[in-house]
Amino acid sequence: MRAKEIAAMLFLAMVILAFAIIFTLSFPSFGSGRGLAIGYYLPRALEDTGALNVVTTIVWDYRGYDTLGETTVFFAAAIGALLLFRRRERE
Amino acid sequence: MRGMSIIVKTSSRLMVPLILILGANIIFHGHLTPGGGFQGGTIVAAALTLYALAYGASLNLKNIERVEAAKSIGLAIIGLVALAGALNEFIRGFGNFMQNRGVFPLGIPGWIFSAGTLLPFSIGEGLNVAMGFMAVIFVYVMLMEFELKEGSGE
Repeated sequence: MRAKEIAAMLFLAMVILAFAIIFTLSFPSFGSGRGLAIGYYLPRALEDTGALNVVTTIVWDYRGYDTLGETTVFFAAAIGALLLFRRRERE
Repeated sequence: MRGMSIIVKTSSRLMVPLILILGANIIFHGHLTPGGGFQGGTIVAAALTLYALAYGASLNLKNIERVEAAKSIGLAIIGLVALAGALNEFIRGFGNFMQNRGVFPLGIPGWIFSAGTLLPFSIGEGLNVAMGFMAVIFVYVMLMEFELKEGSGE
């Protein structure tokens, strides 16, 4: 690899690192997240769903579409792997 | 694939039921404690993998059919529970059909049969994930058998 390519990649890495540091510093600090999304979920999760685990509440109740799609993708991936290799066994 | 030595067999015979109980605990308490279907399902898959590798697994059509049947049952549980909510939403006007609005009783918070749809969703997800990882493990076992057959030089 030539020196010019290495310099270009280093420059790109520096730019990405700078953006990462800038946006990380702009996050709200720990414990001060009230008023964002958590301000919606935390007060009403218990009476909406009756569950104590708020993460499960968000994953399977409020954002159920997303998790249903994720489960379907996992199902299809495993079936696809088995199908691909079953053909190889027959040969 | 051949099984492993008697030390591995004995210790895995002791460990596998305990790991299965841990995985089932995490699956069935998905709405009460940290964890849930995916996390418990991976632990169950790890226990089954330990058993399969220690005692020698083989990939035949019957194993594939069992794994696929259990995986389909898991997805069917999720689909049926979601469909019940979707019918209710269709009658009352369209909304988020995965959200539990009065179809399944909420129960007392903290009990295991509570939280409406979340427990069947966790169980279905656990079955689906455990059997999905078992399918991947079977594919790996079959690849290893294939390599061994090729390597022995026929």
